[in-house]
Amino acid sequence: MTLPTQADFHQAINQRGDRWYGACLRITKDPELAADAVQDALLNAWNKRAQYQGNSRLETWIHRIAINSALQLLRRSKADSEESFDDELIADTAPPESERAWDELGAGLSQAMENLTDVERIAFVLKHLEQWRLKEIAVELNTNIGTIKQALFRGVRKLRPKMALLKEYS
Amino acid sequence: MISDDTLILYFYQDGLTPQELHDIGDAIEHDAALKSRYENLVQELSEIDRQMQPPVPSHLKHQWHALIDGAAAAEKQKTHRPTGFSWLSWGASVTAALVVGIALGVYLLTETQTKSPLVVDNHTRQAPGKVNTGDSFNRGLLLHLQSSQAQLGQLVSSGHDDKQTLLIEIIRQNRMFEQAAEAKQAPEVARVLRAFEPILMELANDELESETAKALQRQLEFEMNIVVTKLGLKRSNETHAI
Repeated sequence: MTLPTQADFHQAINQRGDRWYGACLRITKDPELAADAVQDALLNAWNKRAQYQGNSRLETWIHRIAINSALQLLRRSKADSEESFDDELIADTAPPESERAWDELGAGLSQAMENLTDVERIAFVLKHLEQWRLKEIAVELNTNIGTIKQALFRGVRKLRPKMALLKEYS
Repeated sequence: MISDDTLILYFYQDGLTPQELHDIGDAIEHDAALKSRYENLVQELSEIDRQMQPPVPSHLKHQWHALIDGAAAAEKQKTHRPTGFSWLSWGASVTAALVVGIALGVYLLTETQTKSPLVVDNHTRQAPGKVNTGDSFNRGLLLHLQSSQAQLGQLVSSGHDDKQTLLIEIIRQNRMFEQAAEAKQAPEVARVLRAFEPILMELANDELESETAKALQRQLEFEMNIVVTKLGLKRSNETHAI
């Protein structure tokens, strides 16, 4: 297995940079954290490229690292504000006002996602958009599958009416 | 009665046993009402996939490319480090060691004097005789930035190897302070320091045009200056408060 080259990384950025950023933005809801997550992921991937097995495409490998970085940064920012995913699950409160850049995701999706808590959003994004297994999400969020299932159900329940409306208009 | 939640799991083919998956599939096939409910769910969830991807701001992609170029250049430099003696490289290393030493010294000294939590952005007034360790971090950071600014000023007159050595030293120190800021629960400071790195990496790129390099250097010095001014003002305010 040959090491991915500088050119391979540039190509991956050109091809999948948008998707990495989009996925990180959906997870963090914060454009600065999303940009930081991709930057950290790229630097980590470059420094650890000897560990790249070639089982998946380079851009997919970096995508996964970026998602992990985004979760880590979000967790850290939650720790700073003394909140946690579990607290949120118990409280089931609406998230704070969305930020301007979050709206860049596209009015329909961002509006629909506004009503999701962090855990619901992350469970939905990782399951639906990133196709992670429930077990993987539970491990990543340091919780059990049941909790993730409930978060996913609630997320989908909140999203469905808005998606039904979008479907009618489209 | 199969619930919507179970249909969600069936849609994702996850969280159900093979037997459950088989039974639900069978039920959907033979129950028109259930089939209709399931098709609605699929259509609504599929609608999300149709939503547009957010465009990544172009300056970010530029930064990411520069980051890879810089990391590759730094790596190349590391493996081909010159063996000849250079006063400038020596000077950079001594300055770096001094800055790190002073910062750590001040930190350790103040750490032994108080067990209060480390707070970088300290808005509360100190009790007499107490020294805030966050302030020691700020002093170390201020030294690092001032030293980096001085070193950046030497870049224009530096040869290739000296330039690379200087930039690698600045990046190394910058990472150290970034990690320290993270450890001290100061994500904003860490973020500012992290934002310097792609510019430093790009400056280390051999193929960078002279005008672009000068513009980047000016940008970096300007941004560092803002942080230095803020830190200086903060220290000044705290001195007055005491």
